Amino acid sequence: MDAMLRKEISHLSIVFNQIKDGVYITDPDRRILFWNKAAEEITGYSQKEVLGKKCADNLLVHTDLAGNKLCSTDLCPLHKAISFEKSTTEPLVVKALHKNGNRVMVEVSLAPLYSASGELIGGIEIFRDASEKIEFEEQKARFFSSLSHELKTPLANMQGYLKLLLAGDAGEINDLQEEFLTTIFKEEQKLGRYIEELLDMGRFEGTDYSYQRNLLDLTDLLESLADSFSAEAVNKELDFSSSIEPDLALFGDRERLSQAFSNLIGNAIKYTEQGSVSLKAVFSEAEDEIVITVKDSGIGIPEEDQKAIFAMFYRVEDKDVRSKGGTGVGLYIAERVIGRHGGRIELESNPGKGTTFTVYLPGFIKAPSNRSI
Amino acid sequence: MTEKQVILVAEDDPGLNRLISFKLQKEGYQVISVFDGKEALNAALNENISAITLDIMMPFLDGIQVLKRVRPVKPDLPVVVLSVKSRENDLYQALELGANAYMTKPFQPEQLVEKLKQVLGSN
Repeated sequence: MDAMLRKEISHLSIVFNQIKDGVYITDPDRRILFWNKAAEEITGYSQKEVLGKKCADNLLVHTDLAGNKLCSTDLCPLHKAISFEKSTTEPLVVKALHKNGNRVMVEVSLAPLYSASGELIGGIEIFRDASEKIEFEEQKARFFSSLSHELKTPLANMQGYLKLLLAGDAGEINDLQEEFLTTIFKEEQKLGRYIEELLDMGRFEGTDYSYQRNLLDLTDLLESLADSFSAEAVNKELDFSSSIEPDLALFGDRERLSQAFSNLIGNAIKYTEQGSVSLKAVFSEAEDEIVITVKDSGIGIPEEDQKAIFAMFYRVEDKDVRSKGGTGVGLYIAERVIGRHGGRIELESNPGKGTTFTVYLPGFIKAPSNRSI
Repeated sequence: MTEKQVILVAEDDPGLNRLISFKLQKEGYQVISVFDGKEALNAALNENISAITLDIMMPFLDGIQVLKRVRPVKPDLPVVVLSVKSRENDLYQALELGANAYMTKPFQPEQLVEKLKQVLGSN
């Protein structure tokens, strides 16, 4: 098996040494068999120094952005790629250790390697220095923060003036004037919500770098969302039910995931006039992932729209739908956020009968030792 | 009749400045409106005022600088600082420098009036 991989590598090394991304290949035990030129540059280690070593032997030392060490644990992305035979769908951002002791942010993609006969013979990691991109992300974050201020200030001022007018503080107003001012006030509030959504998009779309990768309690996150949405559902006289398995956990960004699931649950309620909305989350051992479903008995999504529904600003063209208001960024954000966590969203819908969104997220069940008693 | 309390409104956004000032006048205060940090410092030191609503991001001198220079001279003057939430650090710094309260923008004028009454009352 080893010999086969070595032969493959010698064929590929010419190509690998020409590309600017760091590439290394390991056997199934994560022992390094190949280390390209760019990997030498990014990490400071030469191929000679690393061949035969395990990727965790004080090389690279991957940590998540919060600083938790991933190597030698089940969370090692390469270990996951090899033992579950799963490639990364989106590059992960991790910190790696340079030979000189500096931490470098790298974007990594991983995949299991197979022989021609389909046998698992190792794994490959491709990584690139992400510092420039991170700087860009930070600039973007600053831009959105100032844009947010610039847009919200005039809106808040307008609301303030309208309230004064409506309160009669600037002189008495007649009924018609009151009606029109109230309309302006409401429209302005709507505008405020749209701006909020657009700003969310700026915050949430982005690339990976500003994402937290903290250990988070998904059960708790979903339960608190269920709590806050059940009131909204009850207001519309819908049945709202939730069934969430205990101790669901993953590494991720709580605020962003919360936004993603809010968008899915909020949509379900928004587009359902009667019947029920349900939220369910379970851990699938077979697939080693968390499966979350948001099911409604609402208006559904016509088949021709189902593919495009995750596109930015996409709205189903229907006069009933338009009347719901919104900018069409909700599902776009949800899909981006789920994707950035290595997951995916699927949807099944029957117009007139309802829609089910199913989210698959890499995660795990918190060990009993971590459970609070 | 007791004399009206004078509030210094330091806010560079003309729309918001007028809004705050108008609301405060409605509430029975006398108002001095200024639109940058230099004017704010000048008025704070030289006018007989009861309180300041002090925006942090202002031209020439920011609210932090104004507060730094006013506090040694008028240690008991109630100050409410105004800033956007994304600049939380400014707010903490202002509180450390002796601001009595803060408001994060955007806010509604009545919220500011309430806050102002609190700091005036506790003085």
